[in-house]
Amino acid sequence: MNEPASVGPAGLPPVGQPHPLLADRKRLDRITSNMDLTIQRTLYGHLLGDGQERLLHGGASARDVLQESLLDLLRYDPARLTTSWEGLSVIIARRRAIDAVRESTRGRRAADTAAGDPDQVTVVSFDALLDEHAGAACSGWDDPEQAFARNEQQKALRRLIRELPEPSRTIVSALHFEGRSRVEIGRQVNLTPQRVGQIYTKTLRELLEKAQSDPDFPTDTPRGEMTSS
Amino acid sequence: MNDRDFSGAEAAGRIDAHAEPTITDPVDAALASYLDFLEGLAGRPDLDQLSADDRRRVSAVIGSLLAGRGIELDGSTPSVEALLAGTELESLLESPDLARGDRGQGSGGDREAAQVDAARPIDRERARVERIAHALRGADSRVRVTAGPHKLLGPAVTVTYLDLQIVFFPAGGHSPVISRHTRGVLSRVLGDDAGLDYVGAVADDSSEMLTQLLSASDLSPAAATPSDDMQLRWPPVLALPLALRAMLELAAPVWEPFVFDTSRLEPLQLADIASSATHRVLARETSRAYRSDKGRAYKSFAGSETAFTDLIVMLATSRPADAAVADALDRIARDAA
Repeated sequence: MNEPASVGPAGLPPVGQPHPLLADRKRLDRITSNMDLTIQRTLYGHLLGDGQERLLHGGASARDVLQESLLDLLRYDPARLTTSWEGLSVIIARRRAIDAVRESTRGRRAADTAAGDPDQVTVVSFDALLDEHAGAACSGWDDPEQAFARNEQQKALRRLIRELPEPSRTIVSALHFEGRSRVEIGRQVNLTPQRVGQIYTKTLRELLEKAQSDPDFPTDTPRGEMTSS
Repeated sequence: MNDRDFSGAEAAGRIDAHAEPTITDPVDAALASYLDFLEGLAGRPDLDQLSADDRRRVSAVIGSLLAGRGIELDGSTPSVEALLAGTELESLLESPDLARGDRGQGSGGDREAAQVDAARPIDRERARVERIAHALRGADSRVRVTAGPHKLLGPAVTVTYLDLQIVFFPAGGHSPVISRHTRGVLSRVLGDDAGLDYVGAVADDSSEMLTQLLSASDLSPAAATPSDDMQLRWPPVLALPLALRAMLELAAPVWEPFVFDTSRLEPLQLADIASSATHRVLARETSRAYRSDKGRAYKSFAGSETAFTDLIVMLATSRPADAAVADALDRIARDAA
C-alpha cells in the first residue's frame, strides 16, 4: 500500500478534444458518486460504532479527498487508459483516501502510549488502524471494476433502506452502514439484541432479493467486461 | 459483561423470553454468527457446513454488509460543478453543450448530485480559497492556516508560524503574473501591515497552483545591498506547498536541540558553557551544505561566537530589557551582513 496517490500523468486533454467523461455527464456523475462511496468506505469503514465523528485530524474532509480524486481522474490522459474509467476511478479514490488517512494520523499518539512519554516518538500508522474488521471490509479492492459494481449496489440499497419503516430503517442503517453493535442499537430502539440481529438479516435479505429482481440492479462485473472508452 | 458480550449463536439455539422467533434457518444462523464475529464475540464462522445455495445467499449478504461499512445513509455527493469550482478544470464545464446536459435523467444518472446542485449554489471564490487552504494544510504541520477575507486582497488564506505571517491569494491564470497594478496593490498590502512578511500570488488555474512569494523588499523600487549588487532576484515560482516549505526553511529553520555534555568534569562556569555551546552549534550550522542565499546566510554567522556567548550570558544572568536584546541581535545581524 505504498503507491503514490497519482496514478497517471497530469495534463488536460488536447485542445479541441473534449475529455470523454466531460462529454458524458451521466457517466461522470455516476463515477463521481461512486468515488464518493469508495472514499467513505476507506475513510470511515474502520470506525466501528462508538459514535466517532466522521472527521479527519488536520481538517481534511471526505469532500476534499473527493475533489482531489476527481481532478486526478479528469487529468488522466485518455490515451494511456488501460482499464475502464470506472475501474480507474476506484483506484484513484481509494489511494487518495489512504493518503488522507496517513496524513491525518501522522504524528498522533498511539492509544497505548504511556503517560509522560514524549509526543514525537509514537506514530499511529494507517496500517495499524486497519484492524481485522477493516481488513475484511477492504476485501474486493483488488478488482476495481467489481468494487465499482458493489458501490453501485450500495447506492441502490441505500435508496431502498431510506424507504423502510421504523424501526427497520434505524436498525439496518446503524448496523449496515455505521457498524454499531446489536446491543447498542437494541438500547436505542428498545428491542433485544437478538431481535435487532433478526430484523437486520431478514430485512437485508428481502431488500437484496427485491433489488436483484430489478433489471437495473448492478451485478458484480467480471474483470475486463467494462469498456475502456 | 460489556456491550458486546452477547452471542447471536446463542440466540439461534433457544427461544427468547420475548417470544422472538427462534433462528432455525441455516442462512440466518450463519449470518448471526457472522455478526458475532464482526462484533468480536466469536471467531470467523465456518460456512463450509452450508449447502452451496445457502452459502451463496450468506455470501451475498455478507458481501453487501462489508461493502456498506462507512457509507452515510443520508449522505449526498456534491455536484461535479461544485467539486471543480475554483480549479483549472472549471472552465471545461462552462461550454454550452455541457450546461445543456440532461444530467440526473434516466436510470444511469445520479439524481442525488443533481438535487444537491440545484439546492446549493456554488460559491466559486470560497471554493478557490478552500483549495488553497487545503494544499497549505498538508505542507507543514507547524503552521496555522486560516481562510478569510483580506481587506485589500479579498478572499485569501493566512499562514502563521510564531511571528511569521504570509497571506496567499488566488491570482488566477496558469502562472503567477505580477502586473504593474498587482505590484502596486501588493506594495500597499505589505506596507499597511508591518506584521506581514510575505504575500503569495497563487496561479490557481494551474494544476500545481504555481505560487510567487514576495516580500516588501522584493517590491521596493530600489534596494541597497552590501555588495552593491542591484540585481535582486525574486524567490522562484514553485508549486504552492513547495513555495511555503521553501519559505519556512529560510524564515523558520528547524534547530536541532543542544545536548548538554553530562560527562564534563570541570566546575560549571556559565561563560565557559555558553562559549562551548555557541562554538559547537555555530560550527555545525555554518558547515551545512546549503547553497545560494541560504548557504551564505548560514555561513555568515561564522565569527559571531563571542557575540552569541555574550548574549547567552546576558540573558541567563540578568533580566535585560527587550531593547537591549534587540540591540544585541541587531549587532549580530549587522556583523553577519
